[in-house]
Amino acid sequence: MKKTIHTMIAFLLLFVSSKAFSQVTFSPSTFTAEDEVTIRVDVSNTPLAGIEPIYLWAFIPGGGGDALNNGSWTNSDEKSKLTKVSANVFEIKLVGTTAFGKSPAELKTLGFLLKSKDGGKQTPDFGPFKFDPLVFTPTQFRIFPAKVGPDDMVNIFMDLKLATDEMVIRMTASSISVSIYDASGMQIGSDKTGTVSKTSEGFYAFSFIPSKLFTIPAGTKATKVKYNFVGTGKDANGVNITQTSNQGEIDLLDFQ
Amino acid sequence: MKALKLYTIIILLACLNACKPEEFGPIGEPRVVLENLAGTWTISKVTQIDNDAVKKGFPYTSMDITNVYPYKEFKLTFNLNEKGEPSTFSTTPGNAPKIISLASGNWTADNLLAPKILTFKSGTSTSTIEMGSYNSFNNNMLMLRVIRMLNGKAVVTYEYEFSKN
Repeated sequence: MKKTIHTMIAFLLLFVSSKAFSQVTFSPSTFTAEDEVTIRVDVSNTPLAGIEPIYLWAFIPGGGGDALNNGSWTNSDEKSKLTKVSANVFEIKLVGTTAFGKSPAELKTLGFLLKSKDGGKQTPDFGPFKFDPLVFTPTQFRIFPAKVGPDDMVNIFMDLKLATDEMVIRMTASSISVSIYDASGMQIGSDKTGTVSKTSEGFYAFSFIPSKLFTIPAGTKATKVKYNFVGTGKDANGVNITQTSNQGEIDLLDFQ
Repeated sequence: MKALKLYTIIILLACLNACKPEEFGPIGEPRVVLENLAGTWTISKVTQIDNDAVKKGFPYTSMDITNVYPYKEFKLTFNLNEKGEPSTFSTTPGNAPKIISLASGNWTADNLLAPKILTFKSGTSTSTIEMGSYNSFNNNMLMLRVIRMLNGKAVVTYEYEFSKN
């Protein structure tokens, strides 16, 4: 019974989070920290439903700082007021570098919530949403090309020396576990395993086309891929153990 | 001083006399692109290009993906009618990813003398592909290009190099 309740709660949370996610749209859909982006939010299913005016509270996820025009929590700055588009639908334009007073290199992701001016009511946090990078920064996982759709060749590269976990840095990767998800966050089919190639010492790669690796049912839109490299490592006693890397994610975009 | 003037005039006259219309050799027959296109082609190389990385000057801009999937099994046949205009086409993908999703039908070109966009039609389904440099015909090669767009901007390009069967 307890297990059933936990399962129901998990599904409920998944449903709520997917609904919250689907309320936000960006125009253009991808943007750098120097691009002006219009954020449009439908607050129908939030505590702000029916409330006007509504204010933006933008921040850099992970404690990177708040937007300069947020104002104070109990008195939002008028510059962060959203424009009403229709009932319960509001939008605001934002340029990352201007909003946060930071350089593009300092802006990796964007987070925000919407609130009443006095902070008495608010939405959940939205994001983190990725800024398109303007400068190349080597990372543990690199996707080539950086933007892909379900029918594109996706090339995943892992550079072990850029991992943050010591156990991962020392692992020898041999395979990869890949899963694919629809817009509501539900997994499509089951995980697939592939053999990775070692391109040089500490570098591993795997290439695939999502729509060929997975059977995506007609009418289902695949929007995300998650993956972990798997291999061997050694425990504190020098005994071989199975080692899994941290998880990487790829957003699948809608190309014309 | 008089001698200097005389020499200057002689040099100027010599220069003017040297200015004659240059005769260029014949440029040859105009290339008949459609005739070159006709026939069956097989993929020999596939290159994936990250247009965004090219634009931003990032270090990783293109990748040879020919051997990731059996692309070399993909065959494309262009047929012309009796007037030498585009008529039917057929594809044999084998186990390769479908470069053109249609198996057969009719094809057209946006310009019969200098085609750039080739359109494939089968029933109500349509697929387009862009032609690369015509110079590749000199080596019995065909360059086709598929450009994937996002928000009106080229994001990913696939360059398909075909060899004539």
